[in-house]
Amino acid sequence: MNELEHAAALLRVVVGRPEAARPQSTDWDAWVWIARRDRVVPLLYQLVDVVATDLTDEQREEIRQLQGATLSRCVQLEHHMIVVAGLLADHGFRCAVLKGGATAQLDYPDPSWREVSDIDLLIDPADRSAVLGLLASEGWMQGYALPRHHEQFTHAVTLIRDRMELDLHQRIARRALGLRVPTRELLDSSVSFEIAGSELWALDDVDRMIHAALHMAVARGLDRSLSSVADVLLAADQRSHLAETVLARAEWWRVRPLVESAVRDAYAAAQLDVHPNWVEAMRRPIRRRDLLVERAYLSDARSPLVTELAYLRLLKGWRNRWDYVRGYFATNADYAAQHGRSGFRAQARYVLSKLGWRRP
Amino acid sequence: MGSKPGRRESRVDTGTVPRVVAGENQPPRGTSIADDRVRHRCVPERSFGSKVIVARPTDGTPVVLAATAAVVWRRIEAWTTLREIVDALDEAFSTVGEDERRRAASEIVRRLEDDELIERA
Repeated sequence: MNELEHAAALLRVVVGRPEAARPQSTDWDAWVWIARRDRVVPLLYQLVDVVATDLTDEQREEIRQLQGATLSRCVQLEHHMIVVAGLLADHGFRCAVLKGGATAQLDYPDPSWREVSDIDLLIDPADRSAVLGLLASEGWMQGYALPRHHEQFTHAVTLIRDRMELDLHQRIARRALGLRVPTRELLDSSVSFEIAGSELWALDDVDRMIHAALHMAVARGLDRSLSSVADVLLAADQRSHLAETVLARAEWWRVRPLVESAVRDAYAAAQLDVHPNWVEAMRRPIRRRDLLVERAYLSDARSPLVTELAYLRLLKGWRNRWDYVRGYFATNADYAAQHGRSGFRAQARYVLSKLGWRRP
Repeated sequence: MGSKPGRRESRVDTGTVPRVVAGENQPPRGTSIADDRVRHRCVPERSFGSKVIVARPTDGTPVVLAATAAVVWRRIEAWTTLREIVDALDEAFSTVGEDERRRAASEIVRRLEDDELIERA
C-alpha cells in the first residue's frame, strides 16, 4: 500500500467514511510515520478504533501512548491560549483563535480528533506593536529575527515561552493573500466560543473555511500537512450547504480560485468525489479575480519572483514597497546573529537565491 | 506561571480501583471531605478511551486521569458530595467493595486538590 492510500484513509476518518485502507501489523510503522509527520495522530487513533485490524497489543499501545502525548500537548497549549487571549481582552485588544485551536472545538466531532501544535491568534495589525509589548512583558520572546522594518509586512510573528509557541498573526496568510483578505473584516465578523468556561473568538464558519483553504492551497509538497487537508475536507463536507456563500465571499476578496483548488485537492486526497453542492457552486463564473496572485500560488511551477511581485503590487504606496525591499538588504544585529548573514552583498546573494536566480 | 521543577506531567491513578490507592492502609488526608461538596475547575480537557487529560490551572501542566479518576472527574462537574462520588464509582466498578471505593474516592479527590483541579463549596 502506498502513502497516498494511507493519507486517504486517514482523511476519510474526519468525514465518517473510513472504508478505505486500514492499518495492518505489517505496515504499521508507515502509518505511524505519516501520522506523526502530518500531525494527524488523533485520526490514526480514531481509525484504529473504528476499523478491524490485526494490530498487535504492542502496536495498539503505541498509538494510545502517541494519542496521550498529543492530547497532553493540546490541553497545555489551550491553557496558555486562554491566558493570552484573556490578557489581550483585558487590555482591549481584539483577537481571534485561528487554525486547530478553533477548529478542534468548533468543527471536529470531538476536540480530541484535532492535533494542535501551537497557538495561533489573529490580531488587528494596528495593535501589533502594543500587543507585542504586552506579551514581551509576560515573558513571550520573539522566536526569530525579521528583516529590518519588516514588522509591518510579516503576516505573523512567532513568540516562544515555556516551550510553548505562539504565532501572533496580523494577517491570515503570507504576502499578497494576507492583503487580499482584510484582517479587520475577519475580526468584525468573528464569533465567540468557549473553552473551559472562558470566552474566546474565532473566525465565523465561512471565514474559517476560507482560511483553511488558503492555508492548504499555499502549502505544497511536504509543507502541506494532512491536518490542513483534513480541516478543508471537513469544512467542505460540513458546510456544503454554504458552498455558494463561501465562494462568493472568497470571490469578493479575489481568492476564489485558491479556495476551489483547495476543496478539489482535499476531496482528491481523500479519494472521494467532490460534494455535488461544491461542484454546482464552482460552475458559477468568476468575475472578481487576481490573475497575478493565482499565478503566484496556483501555477505548477511556482516562482518566488511572481509571489513577490504579486505582493509588491498590492502594497499601498511606493514608500511601503521601498521599505519592504530595503528591509531585505539592511540587516540589524539580531538578524545577522540568527541567520549568519549581514551586509548588502550577503543579503543580495540570499535574496537572489530565494528568487531562484543562479549565476550563469 | 512556571511549572514545578521536575514535574512536566502528573498522573492520577493507574486505571482500576484496586490499583489506584497508594498506601491503602494509611488514612486519607482531609477526611472531612465526606461532608463537603466539591466540583472540578473549568480547565482544558481531552478524553480518550477511558482516560481524561486535563490542564493544571496554575501552569497548564497536563494531568492524566486514568479510568477511575476519569469517572470521578466526570461526576464532579457540578457540586458533588463524597457519597455521590462513591455511588458513581459503584456504577462504574460494581464488583469493588464500598470501603475500597470510599478510599479510592478520597484519594482521588485529594490528588486532584493537590493539583488545584477542584474547589470546595
